[in-house]
Amino acid sequence: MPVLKVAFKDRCNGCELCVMEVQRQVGNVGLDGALLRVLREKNEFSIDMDPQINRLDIAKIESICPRAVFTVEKEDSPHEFIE
Amino acid sequence: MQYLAKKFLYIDLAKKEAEVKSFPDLYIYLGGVGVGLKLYEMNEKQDPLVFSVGPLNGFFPFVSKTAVVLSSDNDGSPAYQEQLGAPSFEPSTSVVDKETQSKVEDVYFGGTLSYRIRFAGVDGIVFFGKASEPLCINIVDDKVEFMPSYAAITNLGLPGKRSVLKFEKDRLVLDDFFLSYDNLVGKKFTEKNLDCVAITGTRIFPIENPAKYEALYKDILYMGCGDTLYQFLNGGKNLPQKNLEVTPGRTSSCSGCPLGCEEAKIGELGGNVLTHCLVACDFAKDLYSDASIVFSCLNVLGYDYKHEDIEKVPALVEGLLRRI
Repeated sequence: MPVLKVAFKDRCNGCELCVMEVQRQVGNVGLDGALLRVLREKNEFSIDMDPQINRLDIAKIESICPRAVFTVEKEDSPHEFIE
Repeated sequence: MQYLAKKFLYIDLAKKEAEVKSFPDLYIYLGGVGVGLKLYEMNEKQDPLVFSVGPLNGFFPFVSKTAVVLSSDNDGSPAYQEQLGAPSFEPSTSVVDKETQSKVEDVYFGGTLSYRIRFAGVDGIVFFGKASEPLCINIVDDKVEFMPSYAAITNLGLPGKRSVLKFEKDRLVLDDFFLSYDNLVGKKFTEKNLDCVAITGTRIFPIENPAKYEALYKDILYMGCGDTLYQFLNGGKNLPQKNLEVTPGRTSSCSGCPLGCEEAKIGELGGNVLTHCLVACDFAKDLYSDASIVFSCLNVLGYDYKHEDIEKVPALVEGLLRRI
């Protein structure tokens, strides 16, 4: 299952295009309830992601970032072990 | 959606009172510097400090600024510039008040502020009067809390949804990074006994036609960044490229702009009137001084503007400037 990862947090410039992309995919504009948040501490940024974000089109979220902060990686489902 | 009536949060610093006022007639000024100057004119005797955004802030790329209209004793002299130690720009819309001889300035903040004001559900904030003691103000949507000190500023608002204006070494700083031209807004904060302001926006705006909105959003993003940044995303579409007047940098970006350019930190003073009514970045004026692009953006959001309304805006603002 492909999942969105914050691979290069240090590259983030705080433009919030990713937040807007996430919100657009659920038909909204705004910040409240977003499955992704960009947090600022002085001039450093961190990104909070809700795992539910992987239900969205994560390739679009990855590609809208101008600094290539995100990667889409394949992650094995825990159920594959059981099977 | 009906967005035409302009809503402003009026904050009386002397009385520590706040209310939201609606102005159905101000839509003709579009927003930003146009509405800001009109509100300044309407409230001139109370020395207003007006923060104003436009109808596209929060909705489209590169529409990332907040217009601030205020009176200033900045005479533009070399001595004044030296005292401030800040770079000098040529103002285009500042005018001298005939009665007080003070100057009315329009300056522009970058950062996250315009998105926070938009998502607070208002078109701007107007501060009146002077506080009797140093004040910190916490704004969450249209709720305003007056606090005596800014010691706990880091606890105000909601992380990821707030902008903070506070002093660092006598200069007013937005989001720990962005400045206003010549610290003019900082000087006005000091005059009004304002220590800090935190603004949090939690409103959500539904989009009537998401597919059309997304297509226009991305067209504008690609038009602005062109081959340099989003070539791989463009999928071979032949878009008329309108490059921005800045190159991608390594600094903090304003919300809705991917570039992180060096100029964003200092802010702007003066420039294209239509761009500053919207309030887009002046370095994106090639995009947002194009009335057909502006009309498309307003139209997809459901605003009831016509081409003629947009074309009239510069003349209306010029008329305002003459009156002030």
